[in-house]
Amino acid sequence: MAGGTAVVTGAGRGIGRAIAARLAQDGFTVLATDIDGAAAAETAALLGPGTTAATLDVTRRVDVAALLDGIDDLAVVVNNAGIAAGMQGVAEVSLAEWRRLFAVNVQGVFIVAQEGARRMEEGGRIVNIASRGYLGGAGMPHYVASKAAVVGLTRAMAVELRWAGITVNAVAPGMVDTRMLDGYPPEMRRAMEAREPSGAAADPAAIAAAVAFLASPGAAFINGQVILADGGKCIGVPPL
Amino acid sequence: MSAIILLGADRPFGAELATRLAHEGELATELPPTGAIEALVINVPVVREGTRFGEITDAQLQEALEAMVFDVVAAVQLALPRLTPGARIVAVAARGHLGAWGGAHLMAANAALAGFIRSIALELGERGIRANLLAPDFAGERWDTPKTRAEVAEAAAFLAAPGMALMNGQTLLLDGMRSMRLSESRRPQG
Repeated sequence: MAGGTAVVTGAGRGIGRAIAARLAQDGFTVLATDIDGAAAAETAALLGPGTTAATLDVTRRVDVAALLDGIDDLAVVVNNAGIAAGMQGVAEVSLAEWRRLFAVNVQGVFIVAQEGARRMEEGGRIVNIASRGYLGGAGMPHYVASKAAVVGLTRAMAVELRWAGITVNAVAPGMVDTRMLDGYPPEMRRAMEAREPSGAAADPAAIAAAVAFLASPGAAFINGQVILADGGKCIGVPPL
Repeated sequence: MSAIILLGADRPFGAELATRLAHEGELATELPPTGAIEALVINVPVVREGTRFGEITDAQLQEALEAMVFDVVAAVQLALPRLTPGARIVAVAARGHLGAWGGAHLMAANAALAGFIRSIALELGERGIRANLLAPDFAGERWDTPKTRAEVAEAAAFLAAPGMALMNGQTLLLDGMRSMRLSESRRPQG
């Protein structure tokens, strides 16, 4: 049985909420955080006693540090908070949009992971949520690059933190049924789902299962890895 | 003679890249105001400095992203309307996307660049434009000799040359097998 506190960012909805639920079920004391504090509180209320919630903007280091200072048994950090991008070609995406996306998807992950690692003991687990998109995709170069950066950061962190007994891994989800899909017109969403091996977007719980495995005590020998949780869509596409 | 643009000529590998690429066409080391572009070579090598993960500052990460990602994107955007059908984009960075000890901010930026190259290869492939990443070892280390620098320049010329339409969106590792060796995994001294 797992124990200790697991902090999940972006836990107010979607994949983050599913991860919080799964880790609570697995025996962790879950702290559900989200930039939308009400949504995080809703997650905590759904999960029942023992789960707490906090408003957290992962790009604000002082807030991240203050929140983590209040935890004395930090066991797991799940960097799930991230923002999506609409379909735009390389010529159209402004540098301001690049920076906005990277601030959350890359710099936010860095801040929470670094502050988390400082407060973890041997056996600590960091799990970063990347995306199948890190392998490439036309029409959202900034999102692809930001998720590739998450994978690069995962590997670099793993190289160093293994000496402290902390593992750092990533889960790269494929198409998942969350509000991130709301940006797509219904016909486009149907076309996207038709290209999935399962014919549909996955339940967020399917991603939470992969995260829970990496966060579990038994996964201590798995480090610096990326689990592609995409129903097999990427088979044949080589890793970076 | 075709127009080749080399950006970052003042960085490590820059002199060798300039010498070698000049054999392939008319070379400019900054973007001229007009004219078609056959090849755009962006040199952003990684000089690994030993900053441990716990000590990296937000400013260092920001700086790495500006230099290796946002500046590269800006250069590609600027050149894009003038890239000829069949043009080549080559980024020269490092093997940092695989992860390495020290300088995680640089490795993250290097990985982002690899992702960017893959996505523009997919997007611009319709125009016959190719984009590839050259991943030599980190600049300024023991391996970095006139001979290996010449090999990096040779590989860049290969990626910048016309005709190799089948190679697109790739990261070409050019590190003398160092990333394959388990010695890379040992705890560094000090």
